[in-house]
Amino acid sequence: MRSKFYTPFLYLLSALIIIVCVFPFYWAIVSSLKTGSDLFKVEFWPAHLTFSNFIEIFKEQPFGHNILNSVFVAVGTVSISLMLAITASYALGRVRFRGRSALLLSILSISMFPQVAILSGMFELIRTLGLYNNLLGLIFSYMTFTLPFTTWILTTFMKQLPKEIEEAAIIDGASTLTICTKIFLPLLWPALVTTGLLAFIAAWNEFLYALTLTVESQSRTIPVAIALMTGASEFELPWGKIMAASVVVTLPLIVLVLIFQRRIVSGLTAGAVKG
Amino acid sequence: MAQVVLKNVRKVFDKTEVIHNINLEIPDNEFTVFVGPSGCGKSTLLRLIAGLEDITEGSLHIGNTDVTTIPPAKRGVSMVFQSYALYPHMTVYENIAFGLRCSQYSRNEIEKRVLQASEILQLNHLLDRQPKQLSGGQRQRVAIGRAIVRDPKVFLFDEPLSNLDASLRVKMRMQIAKLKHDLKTTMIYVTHDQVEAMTLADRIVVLNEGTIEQVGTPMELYHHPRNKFVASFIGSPKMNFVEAHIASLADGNVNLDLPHDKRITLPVSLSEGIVLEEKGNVEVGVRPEHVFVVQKEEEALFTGDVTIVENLGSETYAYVKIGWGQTILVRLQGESRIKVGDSLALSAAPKDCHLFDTKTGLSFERAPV
Repeated sequence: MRSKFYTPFLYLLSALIIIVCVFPFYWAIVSSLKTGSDLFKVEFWPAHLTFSNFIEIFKEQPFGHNILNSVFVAVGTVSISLMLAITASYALGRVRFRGRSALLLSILSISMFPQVAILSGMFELIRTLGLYNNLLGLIFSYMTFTLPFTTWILTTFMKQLPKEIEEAAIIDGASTLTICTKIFLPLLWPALVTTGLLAFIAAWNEFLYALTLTVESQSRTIPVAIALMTGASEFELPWGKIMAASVVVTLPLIVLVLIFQRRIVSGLTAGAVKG
Repeated sequence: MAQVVLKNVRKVFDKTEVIHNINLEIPDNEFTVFVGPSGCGKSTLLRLIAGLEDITEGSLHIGNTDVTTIPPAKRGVSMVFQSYALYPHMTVYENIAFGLRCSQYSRNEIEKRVLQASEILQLNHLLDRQPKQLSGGQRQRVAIGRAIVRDPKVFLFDEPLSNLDASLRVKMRMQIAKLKHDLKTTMIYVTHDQVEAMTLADRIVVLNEGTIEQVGTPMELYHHPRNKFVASFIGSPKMNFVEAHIASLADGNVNLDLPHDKRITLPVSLSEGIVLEEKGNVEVGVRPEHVFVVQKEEEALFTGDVTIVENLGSETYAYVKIGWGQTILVRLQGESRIKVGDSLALSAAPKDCHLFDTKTGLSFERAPV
C-alpha cells in the first residue's frame, strides 16, 4: 500500500537532490556572465549579461594553450594506462600464476596512498628523469593513480569473459595477441569506455601534481591555470574569469559523458549480471 | 583422417589425479563416444586430446604424430563446446571464418569454405546475423560450422546437446548422425546421456572416476557389460539387480536361490579364473525390457506386489516388490491395466540374465547371444 503522498514526495526529494547537485554549476555559469561589482550581488539571473570574462581569459593569458596541455595530458594518460591495463588485466584475469592475488591486492593498496605522501618522492623522480616542467612528466605521474584502478576494473571484466570463448579461439589457432585484440577488446569495449572516461576525468581535474611539477604558465594544465589566475591588482580575485574558465573546461566533460552515457551504463551493469 | 592413440595418460590437477593411466586407441573414421557420470573425467580426457589441458604423464598421438606437447591449433583438431562459445560480437559468417582467417587462408578460399559449411548445416540465410539473434539450435549449428570449415583430422564434441531442450536435442542428434555419415572423419563425442551414446556411437568408452570401465560397440556393452557399473549405465531404464545365493555349481551351470524360494539355473563359463563359491552371494542383473509376466506362479522367477505404475502409452513401467527388500522394474508392452497393489508373477529367459560378483561388481562371462 503506497500512500498518495508517495509520488509527490519522490518528486520533491529528487528536485532537492538535483538542486543541491546542479546549483553550484548554475551559480558558476551565472557568475561567469557578470563583471565588476555585479558579481557580489545576489541575483539568480544577472541584470547585465556580458561575455567579456570568456574573451578575457583567452586574451590575457595562454588559456587556450592550457586547454591543449590538459587535452594532451589527459588523452596521453588515458591511452597509455588503458594499453598497459589491458595487457596487465589479461595476465591478472586469465592466466594462472603464483602470487596473482598478492599482486592484485598490492595494486589496490597502491591506489590508496594519498597523493601528498608520494609527492616529494615523485618530484625527485621527475627531476632525475629530466621531465620537470614537461607534460610527459605529468602523464607519467598521473599514471600512479589511473593505472591501479583501470587495471583493477579491467581485470574484473576480463575474469567474467567466458573461458570457452578463449578456448574456442585457441582451438581456432588464434595467437594470444589475436585473442586480445580480436576477441577480448571488442567484448570489453563498454568497460574500456567506462574506465577510460573515469581516467580522463581524473587526469583532467588533477591539481596537486600539475601544480608541483610545472612552473611556466605555458606548460600548466587547466586546474592550475585557473587557480593561479590573478586580477588587475593583487587585492582583486577575478571571480568572473575564474568562473568563466571553469565553465569552459567543464563543458567537454559533460559532452563526453553524454556521448558515452549508454556505454557507461552498460559497462557498469555488465559486471553485475552475467550475460 | 587419423587415429588417436593415448598411452598411459595421467592428468593431475593440484595433486589430485583425475585421469588414471588411460590407454586407448581410437580408430580412424570412427565415431567414439565417451560416456560416464558427471565428474568421471570424460570432459577432461577430451580437453587433453584437444590440448586445452596439459598431459601430466603419458603420450598422445594423432595420426602418426606425437602431439603430446604440440599446441591445440597445430594438432588438427576442432572442438564444439557445450556452451557454443560463439564470438558474440561477430556475425555467423565471421564466426565460421575466424579460424580460417587465423590460418591466413585467401579470401576466396575462406568464402568458398564458409559457404560450403553453411550449406551442409543450412545456415545460408543466417550468415549476417549475430549470435544473440539466433536460437539455441542455430547457435549450435554455427559452432559445428566453425569446427567443420577447418577440415580437421579429429572432431571433438563436448556435450554439444545438453544445453538444448528435449525436442531440439533429438533433432540435433539426427543432424550429428548425418554429419558423421557425410564427413567420414574421426569424431570423439562426450556425453552423460546414454541414449546419445547408444544412437550415435560406433564405439563407446565408458568412464568412471578417471578410468576406463569398458570399450565396445553399443551392442557389446548392452549384451556383455564387463561389470555392474557398465551394466547399470548402459540401457534405459537401468538394469535390475537382484541378490541371489549360490545353491550349487554343476558343469557350466550355476543354480541360484532367489527370494520367495524361487530358483534359476544360469550358464556360466568359469574359464577366466573366476571363483564361484557355493553358499556365496552373487547378483543377478536383468533389464526391465527382458522381464515378462507369466500366468502361473510356479513358472515365475520373481513374485510380488506392484508399488508404482508409470503409463507412457506405448509402454508401461511397473515397480514390483519381490522380497528381500528388493524392487525390480518391469517394462510391459502398450497400455497395461495393472494397478498398484496387484500381485504379479514375473520371469526372464536365462540368456537375458547377467551374473555379477557382489564384492567386485565384475560380471561372469555369459554364453554368447
